[in-house]
Amino acid sequence: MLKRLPLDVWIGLVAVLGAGIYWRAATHISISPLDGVINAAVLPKMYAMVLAGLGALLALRALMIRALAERAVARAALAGQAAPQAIAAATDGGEKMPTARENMRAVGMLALGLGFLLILPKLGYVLSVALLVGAVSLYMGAKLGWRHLAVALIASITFYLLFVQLLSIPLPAGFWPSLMR
Amino acid sequence: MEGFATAWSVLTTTPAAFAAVAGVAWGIVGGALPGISPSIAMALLLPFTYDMEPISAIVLLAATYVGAEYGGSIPAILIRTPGTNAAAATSIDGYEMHKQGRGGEALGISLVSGVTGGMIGLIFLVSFTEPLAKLALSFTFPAYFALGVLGLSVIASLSSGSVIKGLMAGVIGLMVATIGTDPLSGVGRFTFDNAELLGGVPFILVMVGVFAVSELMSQAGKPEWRKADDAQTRIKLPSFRNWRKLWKSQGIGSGIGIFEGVMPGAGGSIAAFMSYNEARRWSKEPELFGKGSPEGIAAPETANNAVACTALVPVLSFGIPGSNSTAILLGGLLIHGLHPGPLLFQQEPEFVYGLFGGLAVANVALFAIGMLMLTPAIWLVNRPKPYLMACILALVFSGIYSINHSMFDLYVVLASGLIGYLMRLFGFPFLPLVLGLVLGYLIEANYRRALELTGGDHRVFWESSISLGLLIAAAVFILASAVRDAQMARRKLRAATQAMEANAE
Repeated sequence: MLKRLPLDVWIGLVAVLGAGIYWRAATHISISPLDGVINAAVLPKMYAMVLAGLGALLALRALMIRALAERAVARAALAGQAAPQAIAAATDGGEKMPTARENMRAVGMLALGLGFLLILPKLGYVLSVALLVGAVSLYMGAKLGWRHLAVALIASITFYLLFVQLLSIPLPAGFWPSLMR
Repeated sequence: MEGFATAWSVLTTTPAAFAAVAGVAWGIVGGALPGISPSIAMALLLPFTYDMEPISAIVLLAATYVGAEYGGSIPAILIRTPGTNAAAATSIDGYEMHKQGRGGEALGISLVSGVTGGMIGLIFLVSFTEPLAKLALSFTFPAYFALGVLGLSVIASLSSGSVIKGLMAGVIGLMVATIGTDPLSGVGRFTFDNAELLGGVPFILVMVGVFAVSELMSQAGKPEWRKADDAQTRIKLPSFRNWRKLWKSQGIGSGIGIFEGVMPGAGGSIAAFMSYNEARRWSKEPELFGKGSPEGIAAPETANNAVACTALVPVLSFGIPGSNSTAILLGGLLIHGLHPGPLLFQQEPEFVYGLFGGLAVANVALFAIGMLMLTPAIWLVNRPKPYLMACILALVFSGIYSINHSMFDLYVVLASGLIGYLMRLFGFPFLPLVLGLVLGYLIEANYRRALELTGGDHRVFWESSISLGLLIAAAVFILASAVRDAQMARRKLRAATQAMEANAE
């Protein structure tokens, strides 16, 4: 009746897998002559075991709750109503999950951040920050226009004055200095 | 008296007093912006504290916490959107008073109660931190290891959501802490021949990523918040007669705030709601609660500002933070090479008393700055959200880059933001992750040193009564939380079944 596995089972399995990878990486930690009774790999291996155990426990817990829910659904199904959604909501933690649109918006924000990091060394700080502020504000709903461009420009100049001029922090200059040689 | 003289000397010879005032001002602005919690306001400041004197840096962060707890009440009262989680209780009666044209009075009560709570919390902090820290003098390696395990277990158990997820987040934090050169043997761990990872993953990058970047990612999908009505923005302080009516609720708020501040995992939100409920229970006019009762603002605001001071007790005494904000404060202490505990009181008395003095200045300044910053804070809340969020992201990147001038750090922050967002999505709490990262060295180093002394004999952990007691306490916390977790799951299932049966009928 409830074919879809609870989310926590998948999370638990990913944790077990992650713990396995971490364990494998821990086996490559070299042993130093300075190591005493407990070498540098012991604690990491213990952490991997604990994480794997907790992951398995999380999956098991979710499956147990699902089994109980299925029994309840089976009982209620005699009355002939559509219950799986209600039970699924109860067994998947019940927290209000962001919608697919909200998740996509979040990923878009991350992509804009990544784009900024890629252009920063090439275009330099002032232009990159102006583009970042312009793009992120546009993405979050600001209207393209003079006001939008002015805010992006003023923000980047303000940050430049604060970090480079006031705090003397050498931020990436980009390709501009090479043009002046 | 000697402590008072030391505090005075520090405040008059360093920029700590200025840092206290600046921190309060920044905290009010940060707290007033919905989505920017006190911890995010502090995390945004953290990169700027690197080059500061330790005392000024920590006072700046602590004062930001004090200011943000009050700042959160401004949008809670004016637009019914709490700027911080702890201000949610304030919005119940605060917004009702605002609707009745008493917004200025509500803001005045919030400010006076915040200052009162902060001062009472500070008295408790000054009186109890040093005696508690002296307890830690009897701690040996096994006891320090057990203390770290207890701190992590308590936070993992008490954080919101499932206890298993809390513990998983804590273990992941411990795992991240092992990246880099092993401080005991000098061996590289999980560095994958990347020179940037030799020094480990600085916790500041993870903190800023999981708190600030993930919040900005969440905000991308949320609609614009409401705008405040500019008409009622003059603070009206309560008259002495009206203030007397608030004493009882402020007393309740202070008591609960002190208690909850010291308790790990509780924090300002629980203190605010608990004190709201208790103030209603003991009020002569409980029927006014929810309809614009001044006592309904006084109790939670006193409580959350008392928490801002007493939450420092476990941090300064044992180095164990109980909330996101104090975890960032601990991060600030460690960045400056200050290790909380009894030695901090013995070796750095100027720092400790300077911090207490700075907090006193912050609480007094809150009164004046709270009135002065109201108009700028409202102006900022009324700016379009897209521009504010874009500028905050630019500030995050610029601040992080300024620490090591490293592009790699920026990628780590972005990756931490993604991890933070996934943690939000799948119901994992942040605090155990951050705490695991911060306490990772304490736990590992003391575990290995303890076993070094005994040739690998694990009995050392239960032969010491302190270590045994702390480990038993950790186990009790985890078990009790697991039982609570199971009960909640059963209750949720029962509710769903009942809803289903009701639908069938």
